[in-house]
Amino acid sequence: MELIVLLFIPLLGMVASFLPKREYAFLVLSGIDLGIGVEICRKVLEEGRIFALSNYLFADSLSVLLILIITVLSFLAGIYSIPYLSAENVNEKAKSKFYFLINAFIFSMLLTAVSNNLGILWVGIEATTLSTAFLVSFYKNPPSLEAGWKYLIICSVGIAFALFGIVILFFSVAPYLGYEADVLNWTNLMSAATSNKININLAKLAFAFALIGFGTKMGLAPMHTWLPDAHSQAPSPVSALLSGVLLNCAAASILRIGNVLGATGEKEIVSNLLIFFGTLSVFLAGLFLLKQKDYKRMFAFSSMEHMGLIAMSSGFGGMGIFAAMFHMLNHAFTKSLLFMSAGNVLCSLHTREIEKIRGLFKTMPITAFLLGLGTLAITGTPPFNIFSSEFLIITSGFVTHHLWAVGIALAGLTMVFAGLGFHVTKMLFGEPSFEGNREVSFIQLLTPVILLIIVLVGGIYMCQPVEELLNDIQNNVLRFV
Amino acid sequence: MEVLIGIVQLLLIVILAPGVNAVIHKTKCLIRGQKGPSILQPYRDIYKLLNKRSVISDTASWISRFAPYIIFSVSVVAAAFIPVFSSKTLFHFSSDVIGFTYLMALGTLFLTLYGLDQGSAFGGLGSSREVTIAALAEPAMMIAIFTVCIMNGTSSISEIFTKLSVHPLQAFSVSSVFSLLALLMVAIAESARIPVDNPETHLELTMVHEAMILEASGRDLALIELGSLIKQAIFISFIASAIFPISGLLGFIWYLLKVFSIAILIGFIEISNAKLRFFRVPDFLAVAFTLSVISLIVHYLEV
Amino acid sequence: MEVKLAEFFIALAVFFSITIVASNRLFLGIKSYALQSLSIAAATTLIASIENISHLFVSALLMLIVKACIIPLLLFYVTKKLNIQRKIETNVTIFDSVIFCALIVVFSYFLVAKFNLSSRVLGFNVIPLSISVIIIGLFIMVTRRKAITQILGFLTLENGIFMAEIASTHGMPVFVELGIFMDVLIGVIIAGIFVYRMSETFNDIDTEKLTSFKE
Repeated sequence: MELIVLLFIPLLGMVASFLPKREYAFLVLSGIDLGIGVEICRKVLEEGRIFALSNYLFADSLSVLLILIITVLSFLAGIYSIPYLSAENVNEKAKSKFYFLINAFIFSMLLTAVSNNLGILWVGIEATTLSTAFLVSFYKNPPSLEAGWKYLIICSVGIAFALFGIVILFFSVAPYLGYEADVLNWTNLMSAATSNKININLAKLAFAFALIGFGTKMGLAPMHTWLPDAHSQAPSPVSALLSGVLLNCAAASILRIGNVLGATGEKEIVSNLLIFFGTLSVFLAGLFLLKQKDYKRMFAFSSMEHMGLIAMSSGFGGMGIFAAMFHMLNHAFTKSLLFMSAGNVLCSLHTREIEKIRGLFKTMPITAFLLGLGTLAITGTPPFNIFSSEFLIITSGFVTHHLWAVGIALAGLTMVFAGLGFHVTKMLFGEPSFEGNREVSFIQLLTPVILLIIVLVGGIYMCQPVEELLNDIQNNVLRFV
Repeated sequence: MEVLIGIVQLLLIVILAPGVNAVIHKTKCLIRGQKGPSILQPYRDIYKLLNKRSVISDTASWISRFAPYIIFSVSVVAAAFIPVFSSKTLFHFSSDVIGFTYLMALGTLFLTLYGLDQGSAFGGLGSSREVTIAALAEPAMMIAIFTVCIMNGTSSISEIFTKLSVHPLQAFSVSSVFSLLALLMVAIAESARIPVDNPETHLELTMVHEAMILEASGRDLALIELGSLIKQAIFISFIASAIFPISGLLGFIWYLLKVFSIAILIGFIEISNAKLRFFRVPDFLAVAFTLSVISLIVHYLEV
Repeated sequence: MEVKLAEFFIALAVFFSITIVASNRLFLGIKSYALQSLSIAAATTLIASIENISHLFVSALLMLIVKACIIPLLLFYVTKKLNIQRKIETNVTIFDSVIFCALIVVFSYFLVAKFNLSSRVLGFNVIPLSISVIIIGLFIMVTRRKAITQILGFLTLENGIFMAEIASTHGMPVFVELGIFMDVLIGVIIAGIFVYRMSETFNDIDTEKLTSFKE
């Protein structure tokens, strides 16, 4: 029941986007959704998995983790959008479009998070592409159109490959279980895999296609080419959601399919592929990041790096899964913090170029403070939360003897640290390139401040429910990866 | 008796040849909403031309005198290879596909020589184009025909016909669909039809076949035209014979049905496509080539 | 008999994917796409009647309505409305790309032989052929420069996946199938709007001109 309400509210939001007070309607609705998300979390922690709509929807601890990230971030993005859109002088018609699409986006992400059925999950992921294509090209200027077109085409092709993978996976179990729709349910796929009612060769092929397909959406190298463009051109609240949530949804889909293949005893291939693509992404992201000229683009490459870390860490298995999931949570909040503070800079100074911005501490002191601390957090400096999860990832790599992967990833992380540190310090210090105090309004600073508090607290203290969730993911949901 | 059946089959193709062309033309006219000439018109044209004296240019050599006869006779001999309702063709003892294809090529050779020999500007132009098309069509045609041979384990056209007519349904395969499509495209190219050549115009920029025979007149023209028509009928009959052939009297009716439906199909293709620029013809034939290669691959790799 | 006929239509679908590669005019490509969808719809209907699966009839009908009528008409509309130069511009010559299709077919046969995929209903050929349609679609997307041709390539790829579906598992479950059709339709509409906006902003839809993000 909760699951249906959870999905229904963004649909309501799509209707509400035609009302005059759409900003506040969105805020209220996403607040309610957040409440329902917390309720689902409580229920799952107490009773284990819950099902709805004749088992087509379900929530286990991995879905709960995604639901929490989605609902919290969409609520915060809702708060942030109000001052952001008015600062950007967006007219009413465009605002209505913005809220309509963002609700559709949240709906499709929630659908992927709670769908028990692989087919529905695919429809949901494709819907995220379709709903965000116009959000990416929201400003309708040439670069944003180009980014939107690239995003639409590359992701559609990637997702088509994922569909092919799903068809093959269906084909690999259908001779044993029949051709009914619920064969594609995760629960049935898992039981088929553990009882060996699956054609393993086909399942391997299916995983390879799904990894390429959903990996495109997740931003793994070398399928990442859309990611920096889309993230840098989208309005900042959308960038925050794209980077913080959407990539995680794709990652979760890959891991679930990998889990099915792992349950047949083919753990090796899953972990090797994940480690390979993950390490490659971390390293390449580090390389690209060094020479960026656009700060939003720079943060987009950092997202790619973190997705690589998540994939790599999931490949390590065991504690690596715990670390990856923890990292997913931490990255979502930290990257939203960064995109929102970068959004403040863009809003007030109207340039994306690093070279043109100097001495932010003098022109926009609070934003500069947020940006600086956010950068420290994203590069894995203690005491922020990313430090603890990255530390766990590296440790689990050493424990499972993946020295090469860890070595390359550490090199990538060093480059990321150097690149981000270099570019952001240039922006923060020095002679101000803009006159006077350009600080944005209080309400626009509120959301990043909340996120900063979450990030800081998350690094020092891990609350009980989160730990339980992550443990459950490691020991039950994804135990075969 | 066998010889008699062979002669009947040969005569059938020769007599049918102008009719097939007329059906294609009639189909196009009917789709356009015109009445169109009668089906018998090509027969009347050829009869009329046969009774006329031919004029040959002063610069022409012996080739121009002999070429029409060679073109015609080569077509007739090739037609004797094609089974219509019985595998007992006139040359069933040696009805080899390689011989068959090279007979067709011989006809093309003399046609191009005829075009060159007349010494007119258009003739040479048409010949050079014709040779280009023939050279590009040849690999596609050979591979497609060889695939059909490999599928049936023999290179004799009569034996292929026998094998196919015994088990028409089993003989059908995806591979044969591709080779038949390739052959259809080659047939369109070789018999100078849209989209490769337009048989209805004398536009100097585009014409191929018409350019070569521009100088021909009277009986020569009749023989060359009849030769080309027979060649077209041979291609269509070859394709028709490869689709679920049946022997016997029923096979005869079935054959006529197939030939005329292919003719109507060609009419549809012609009406719905524009003539390609000459430099696009290689692309068209590349499709035929690719299809024939695919049919070969599919045949070898299917289990 | 029906099986053979279904295979015939699948072969026709492959033929039309090659004609999309060979077409130098947008209209010819869109027409070929419509005919391809039509032959796949026919094959689907035949398979549905052989195996007596009712939801495949629904898929066939959707195929007929959405992919053989609505999407081609939409593409025709966009092409006409924008007054786009109808010529298809390519990075690889049409001749070479058509020949390359033969290589693609060989490759997909080897891929299938390696993983031992075979169709349940139809003969062995259908899965490798559908994989080659998928790869041909990808090839069109990579080598053709106009934005509309890239949509056409994506649609071809999608048709290939549909062929693989009907051949291997009798299509996806019905609501998933509905979702896929809806996603494809909305995707084409969105892509059409993008093409429209791009032609207004760049005065062209040649994707080679989209170069502001070269790394």
